[in-house]
Amino acid sequence: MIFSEPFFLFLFLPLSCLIFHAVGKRFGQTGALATIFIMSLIFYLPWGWWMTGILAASVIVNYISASLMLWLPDNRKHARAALLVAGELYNILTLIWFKYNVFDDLFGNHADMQSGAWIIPVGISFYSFQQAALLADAYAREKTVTKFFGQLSTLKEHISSFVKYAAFVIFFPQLVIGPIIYMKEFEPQIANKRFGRIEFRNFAIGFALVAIGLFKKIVIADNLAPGAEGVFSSAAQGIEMHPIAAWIGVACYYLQLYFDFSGYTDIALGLARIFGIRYPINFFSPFKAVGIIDYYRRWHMTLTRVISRFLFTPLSIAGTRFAAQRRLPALLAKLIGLWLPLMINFEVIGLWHGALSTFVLFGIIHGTWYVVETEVRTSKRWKAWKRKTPDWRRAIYGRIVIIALMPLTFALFRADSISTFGFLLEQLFAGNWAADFGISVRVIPFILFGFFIVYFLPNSVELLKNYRPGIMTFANKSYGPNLFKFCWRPNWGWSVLFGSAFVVCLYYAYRQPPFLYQGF
Amino acid sequence: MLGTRLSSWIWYWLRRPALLVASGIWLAYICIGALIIGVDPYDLYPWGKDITVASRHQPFDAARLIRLAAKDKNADTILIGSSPTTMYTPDDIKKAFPGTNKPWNISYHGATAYDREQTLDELVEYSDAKHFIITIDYFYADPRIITRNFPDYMYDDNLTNDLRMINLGSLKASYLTLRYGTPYRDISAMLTKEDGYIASFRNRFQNKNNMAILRDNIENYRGKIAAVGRVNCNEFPMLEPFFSQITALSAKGARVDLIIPAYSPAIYYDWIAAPIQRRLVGRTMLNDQLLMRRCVVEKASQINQVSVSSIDLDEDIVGDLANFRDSGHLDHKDNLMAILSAPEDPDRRITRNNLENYIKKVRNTVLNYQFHNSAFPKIRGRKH
Repeated sequence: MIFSEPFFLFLFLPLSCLIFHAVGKRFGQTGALATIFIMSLIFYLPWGWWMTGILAASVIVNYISASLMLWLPDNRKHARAALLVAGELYNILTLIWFKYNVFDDLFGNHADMQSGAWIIPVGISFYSFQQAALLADAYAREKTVTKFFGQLSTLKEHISSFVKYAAFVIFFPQLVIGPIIYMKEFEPQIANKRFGRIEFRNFAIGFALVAIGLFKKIVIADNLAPGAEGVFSSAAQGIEMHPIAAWIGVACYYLQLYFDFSGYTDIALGLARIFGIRYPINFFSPFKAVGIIDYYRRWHMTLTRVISRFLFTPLSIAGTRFAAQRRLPALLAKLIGLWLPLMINFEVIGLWHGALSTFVLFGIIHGTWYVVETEVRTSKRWKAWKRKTPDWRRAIYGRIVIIALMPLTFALFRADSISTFGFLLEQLFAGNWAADFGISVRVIPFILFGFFIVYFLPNSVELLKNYRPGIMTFANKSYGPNLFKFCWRPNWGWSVLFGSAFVVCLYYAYRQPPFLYQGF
Repeated sequence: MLGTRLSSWIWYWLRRPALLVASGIWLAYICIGALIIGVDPYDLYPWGKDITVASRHQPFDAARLIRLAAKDKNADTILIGSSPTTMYTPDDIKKAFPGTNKPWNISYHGATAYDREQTLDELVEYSDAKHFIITIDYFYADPRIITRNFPDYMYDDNLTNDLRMINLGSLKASYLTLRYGTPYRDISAMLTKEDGYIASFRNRFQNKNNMAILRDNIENYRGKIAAVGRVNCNEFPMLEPFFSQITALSAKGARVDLIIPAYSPAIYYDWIAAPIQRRLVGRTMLNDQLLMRRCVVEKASQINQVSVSSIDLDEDIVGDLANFRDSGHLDHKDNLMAILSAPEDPDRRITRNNLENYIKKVRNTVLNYQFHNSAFPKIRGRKH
């Protein structure tokens, strides 16, 4: 099922809410989690039995690994470490096996992936990372993990613990495209006495988020898609295009990806909230970022933090220690303590999307950009300039850099191959002004509307900030004109507005293109 | 007591506007959904009211009426086509095929090979018609042309996605079915819309500026038009399911007439020059289309009661751009009747015997085509 499907919105979701509420009221936390587990399985089953089998196997292997790690005493260090390695290897290898066909595809073409013909188990990138993080927490005996698994002496306790664990992993709002949640964020919420009931306040917040997310996806992103498809498929076939048409196509994809993915996240946050669970925030106005460092604190934040935690930080610490022990020169120390870990970090982010040359290059470009910006921002000249210039001016310069470069890197991300990207660059910067336009101008109002929303309206988290719509993944500054800093309230005006947005989405319900990140 | 209860109940809802709005939307949607699925104006389910359709020609809704047409026990002839055939009325079909009593036209704009596959599946499964007229459109050459707006959710085996058909159109169809027994009562508005739609194409195409561009394109791309693309029938994967369905229709005793829409020779130049069309057909359209037609004729010749017809060699019609509303769509009643009745004319049939000659002549006509539009006899290219 996908969230924009009327069957999901009008039958599955209301039924899930009713059962959850009834069972939660009668049987408490375990009953509510069991409902989540069963409903999530039903949600996932339409993707196919083999995908459900892979998901089930992943949940079982990780559960066994985590519970054994928790069960073994601290003095069985090697056994616990072996379990951690085995569990993590399982996650990584299944990901590689099902998602990557490294040798064939690294330098190949990913048209199939963009067209949806590339079949990978839905959500594998997300549930594998979520469980990988949990295994690390279980190994470290993180207290919420220990509490969550509880006593595991009887079969009943094992079953109860497994159902709870499976609910944590496969809860349908986050199963397919995240956000990637940590146990320390999940456990305190389900431990709350009020968990297991649908509360009006949570419902109102959830409904608002779902309406926002659906509007972003169905009304904006899906209407931008033809512009992006037209230009990128022309580029793939080497068809000359008008430079303005090429720029429109690039802008379409830039906005489409954001509205599609952040729309999904808003829906996920809203759905989880209806069930009384707050999820971590995944997006916080990334296009308003003033630099790439700021950008990655606002774009797909839960992936950034997982990779930073398990990759960048250990690598950076190890590199810094190594440099300190060997008393390496400052430049070399910086190289192995910061630059290299950053490059690896971004390469993994790139490759996480698929083993393709475009993603490899995407990772290299973003990594290099990040390193350069890090160095610039720590330089004396920058600091001196910072003292002399007001914040707003630096922010504008930063945004100019972002808007000038980021859409091009996303064009690389979308392109079928590096040569397609090269051809597209040629059309963008040295295209034939006499060439046909080749795309419908109907996308232009949606581009303008999209940029208006991005730059002038508060994001969904800002809009609902008085009601804490999600867990803050990173502390981010709110940007944007004061004129539009209004806040949502559970009143008639907002309810009718979001109800109307919801109804507008239903107008397009006949078409159901998948969310873009379902392909990753 | 009751009043107090009622007021507290009202007060409960009024204090929860989001819940009330969401519940209202849910209730309205479910009621509308129940009405549409219950009434079943498109005859998708075993239940529902008996439906009579006054006009078996709904150019803008034809894609929603496929099962209705297929289940129509009175239908004897069904035309399955795309934009070149949407305008044919049941009377046109009767005129072209004497003896026809209850014809349907289920041609719709923007058809693709994928949704044609679903259309034919419906006909194979439900239809008892004894005559099918099916267009062999350009899109059979290329699986890249994917379905956009075809309501596949109405015809697949997945019941859960049927709610997607709920919209104002289907609500209106349900109301009309319930009240009058037909989902379409007054079709004049739809026919006017179709006429306007076709006229808008004609106006955009038949003007001096556009003709000058077309003339330029014919000269500019003359050297590139003969490029070779695909070389054997296996490279047209969409033909395989198509012919297994044609075989199934033939096995039910039906006559199947395959019609190659009449394209102007200018289309091969026009489409290679236009990015949107070139994305669909690639740079080797002429060779691909001719090879595909060869494959179609060869496969069709192996099936009983299946014919292939074309008017591509009738230069009086296809050679003059004045006969088109764009380079791929024939215009004007007489021309349209000529192509529709082609299966009845032995001279316009393509068989294994005249296939080579047909291919050769079409190729030569296209390669040597000189711009000609009798409505603009003095037109010159922009560069002249």
